[in-house]
Amino acid sequence: MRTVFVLTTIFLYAPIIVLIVFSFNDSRRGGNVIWKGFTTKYYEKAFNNDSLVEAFTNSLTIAVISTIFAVLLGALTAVVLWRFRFPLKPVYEGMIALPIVIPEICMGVSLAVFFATTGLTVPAETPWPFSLGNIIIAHITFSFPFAAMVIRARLQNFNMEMAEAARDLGATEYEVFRDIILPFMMPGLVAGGLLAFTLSLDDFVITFFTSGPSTVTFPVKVYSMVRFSVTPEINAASTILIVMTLILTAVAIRFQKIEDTT
Amino acid sequence: MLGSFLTPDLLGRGQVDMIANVIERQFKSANDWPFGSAMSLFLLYVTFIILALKALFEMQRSGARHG
Repeated sequence: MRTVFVLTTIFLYAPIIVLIVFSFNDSRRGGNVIWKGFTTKYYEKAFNNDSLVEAFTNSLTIAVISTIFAVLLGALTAVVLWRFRFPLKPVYEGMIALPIVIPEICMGVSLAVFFATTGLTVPAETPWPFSLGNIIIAHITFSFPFAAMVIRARLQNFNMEMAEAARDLGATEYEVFRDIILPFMMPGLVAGGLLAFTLSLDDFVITFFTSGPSTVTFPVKVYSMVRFSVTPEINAASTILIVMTLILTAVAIRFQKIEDTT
Repeated sequence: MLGSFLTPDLLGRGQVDMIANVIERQFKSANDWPFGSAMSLFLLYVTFIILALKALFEMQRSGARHG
C-alpha cells in the first residue's frame, strides 16, 4: 500500500519537479540531462521573448473575460436548476453536463466547424481584444458547466427557512435573492470562477482548433515551440504557469474551507 | 483519456497515433473535414455508450436495493 502511494506520487510529480529544476539549468538544450550550474537567464529570456509575452497576455485576457461570463451563466443555470421545476428538466440537466463528459477533441472540432460554417470566424484584422472573440466564446462554452456544477453544489446546502423568514419580514423576491441567496452563493461563485479561470488558462485542444494564426495563447505557443525544439526557456515559462496555477488552486481550497465552516 | 491529444502527440513524436491525433490531422493538414467529423462522432458514440451503460448499472443497483 505504501509502495503504491510512493510510486504514484513519484509518477505524478517527478516530471513536474524535473521541469522546474531544469528551468534553472545553465545549458542550451532543455532535453539536456546534465546539470551545468544554476542560472536564471532563461527566465529573463522568456520575459524578453515578445511573442511568448503576447501569448501569455492573450491567455490571461481570455481567461478573465471567459471566467466572468462563465460565472454569470453558471450562477443563473445553477439557480434555475435548484429553484424551479419545469418540463424536461432531467434532459436539460443532462445537456448542461454534456460538455464535461464529451472528449475535448470533439468539442474543439465541433466548435471549429461551427465557426467556419456559420461564418462567425472573427477576421484576422480585427483590433486586439475582439480578435480573441472565437476563443473566448469557446472557453465560455466549455467552462460554464463546471462553474454551474460547483455553484449548484453550494446551493444544495441552502436552508430554505432563511428565505422564508426574510419573506415573512416583508422582503421582495429580488431582495431575498440579493441579500440572502447571493451572499450564501459567494464561496461557490469564487470557487467556480477560479475553476473556470484555471481551465481556460491551460486549455490547449479547444484553443488549438478555434485560434487563428494571429491569436496565439500560451499553451498553443509552448506547443509550437516544443515542436521546434525543447529549450530551457520553455521550462522557465511553464514553471511560471505552474506556479500561477498552484497559487490559484491554493486560493480555491482556502475558499472551500471557508465554505465548510459556515 | 479516450480523446487525449497532447500526450500521444508530444510523447509519441508523431509516430504513435491515438484517435484524437488522427482527427486533428484531418482538420489541420489533410483537410478532409467530413472524415474528421465522422471520426469525432464515432468517438462521441463510444462516450455515449459508456454513459448509457453507467446509467444502466446504476439503475440496476438502485432497483436491486429497493426491490
